[in-house]
Amino acid sequence: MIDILKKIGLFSLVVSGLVLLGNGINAVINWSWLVTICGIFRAVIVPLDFFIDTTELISSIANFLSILIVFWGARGFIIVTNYFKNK
Amino acid sequence: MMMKGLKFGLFLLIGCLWVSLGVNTVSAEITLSESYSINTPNGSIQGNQGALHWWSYIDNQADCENTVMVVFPSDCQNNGTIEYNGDELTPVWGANDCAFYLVNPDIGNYSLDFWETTWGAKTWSVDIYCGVDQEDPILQKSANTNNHLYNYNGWDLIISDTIEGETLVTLFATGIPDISEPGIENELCWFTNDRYQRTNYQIATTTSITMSTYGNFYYNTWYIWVTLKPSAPPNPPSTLTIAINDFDTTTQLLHLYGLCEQVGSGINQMRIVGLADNATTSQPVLPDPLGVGRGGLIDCNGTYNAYYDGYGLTGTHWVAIDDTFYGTDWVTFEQDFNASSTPDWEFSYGYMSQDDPDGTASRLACSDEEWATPDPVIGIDWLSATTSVPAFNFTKIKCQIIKQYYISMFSLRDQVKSMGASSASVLGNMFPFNFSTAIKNAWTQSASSTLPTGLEFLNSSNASGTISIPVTIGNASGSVPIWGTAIFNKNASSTAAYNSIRTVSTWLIRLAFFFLVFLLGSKIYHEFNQSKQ
Repeated sequence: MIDILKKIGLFSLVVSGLVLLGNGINAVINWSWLVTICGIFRAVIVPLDFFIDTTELISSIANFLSILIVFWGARGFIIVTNYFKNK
Repeated sequence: MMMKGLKFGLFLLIGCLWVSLGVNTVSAEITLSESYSINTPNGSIQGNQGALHWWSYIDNQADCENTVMVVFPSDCQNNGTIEYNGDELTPVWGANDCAFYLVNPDIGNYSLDFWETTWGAKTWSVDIYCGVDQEDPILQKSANTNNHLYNYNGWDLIISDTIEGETLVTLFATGIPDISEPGIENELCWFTNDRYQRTNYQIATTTSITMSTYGNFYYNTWYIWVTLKPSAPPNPPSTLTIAINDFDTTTQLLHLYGLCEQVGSGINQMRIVGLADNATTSQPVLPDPLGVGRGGLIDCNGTYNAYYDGYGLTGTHWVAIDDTFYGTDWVTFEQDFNASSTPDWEFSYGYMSQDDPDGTASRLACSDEEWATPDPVIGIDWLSATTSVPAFNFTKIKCQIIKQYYISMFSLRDQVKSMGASSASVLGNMFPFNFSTAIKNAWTQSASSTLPTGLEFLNSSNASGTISIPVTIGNASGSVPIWGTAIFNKNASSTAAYNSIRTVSTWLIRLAFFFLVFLLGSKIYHEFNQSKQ
């Protein structure tokens, strides 16, 4: 029982820490440059649209990036849990 | 490997430039949309035979949906044929070769050629109108005196009229506050002694037009081309009333399109109302996407959420439309009527709250008839000797219970949605998912943002991806496409080829995506296995 509570506490701690970290990053980084980069990408990709379905391309890239982020997140979670397991 | 890639890129670039210059020696790209004028710059024609060439390019079928009209407002003495990309334009009857039209023009580059038989230099002015909206723009009328009332409430329209008469024939149009071309006052067309034929046209932004004809005439052709594209959407709610009265034909088709282009800025409802009580005569035939009894009116984006109440000509038909969609679609009305019927239709669009749980629950629970039954009364009114008061109206009780059930379900749905939104907000800001959220938000914002001044050159392509460079040849100026489908003459086979390439590339992208996901999955599997060991 105590083990379960410890695990829940650990999980909550990790999630809270990640939320704080994410909010901290969002507060520090000015994302407006990202809008410009996306705008450049849009401008460059439009001329390709007549022979490449750019909507499909963008959604595929976006989906893959999302999966990649989940993969990195899972990998980080494994590292954290291994760290606490070995303690 | 890199050298091979560079060589291939260079070869592709040179090939495209060669094709571009070979195909489009003199080309001016003109996107046909709504109406516009081309004033041929010092387009002098010397000699007794001349041809004035210029090129226009229709890059989007929707830009010029079904008719292109070419009008020579200043000189109507040209003879011969007018061709539009090899398709001979049909002269507007009685227009003295001043006006021509072509139904269903193809996408592609067009040259407009005509021949001049008189000597001397001339400056030609040509107006090309596009985006007219009647499949058959000719509404023929062969009766005598009639009044036609057209209410357009500020919408742009083009009116062209031809009359051939035997005696005094007069056609008046009143109520036109703003006539931009060709400077005719309120009169549209007039008579001749023997045979009158003359065509004039007007572009008007008007609130209403009443056109009356007096006298005997045996041929009258009406062109009412309503673009339905105001320069700016009027502040809703706004109405567009189209009266189609007194036509002799038993079935009149009126095709309108562009309604959905008004969508946006929060406009989420369109409505069609039958103004005249015509219940004793034939019902209107409203085919897809309009359907009496089918609940569907306008399909702006393939999915729609529509309902209607009422039935027949006097009914009110509402359609809910996606207020984020911006596009073009057709709205077709097919109206059966005879001489005695005067059906009027009114279009409205504007805001309507879609968040009406009480009203929605009431409609879902019971019909209007069921709701109209008396309220349940517990107990008996002993003092009322003459009135029969129902002790329990189970119909109404059932309706109330079902309604409360729906309301509670709506409430639960809203709670779940709210929780989901909160969770998504928290998770979206959690490291490392905040990067994904930031990229998604940036991508959305980039659609409406502008690039910095130094990077504006990247926006060299138009909406269809065509990149053009400006050119000046003699007195003519225009632009030459150097990239995109415009570098080739478009026809059915080239369009099919582009579509095939696009389909293949789409499936290649999907294949690459699934391959990458497979590789990633394999990597995750091995890493988890290693961590277990």
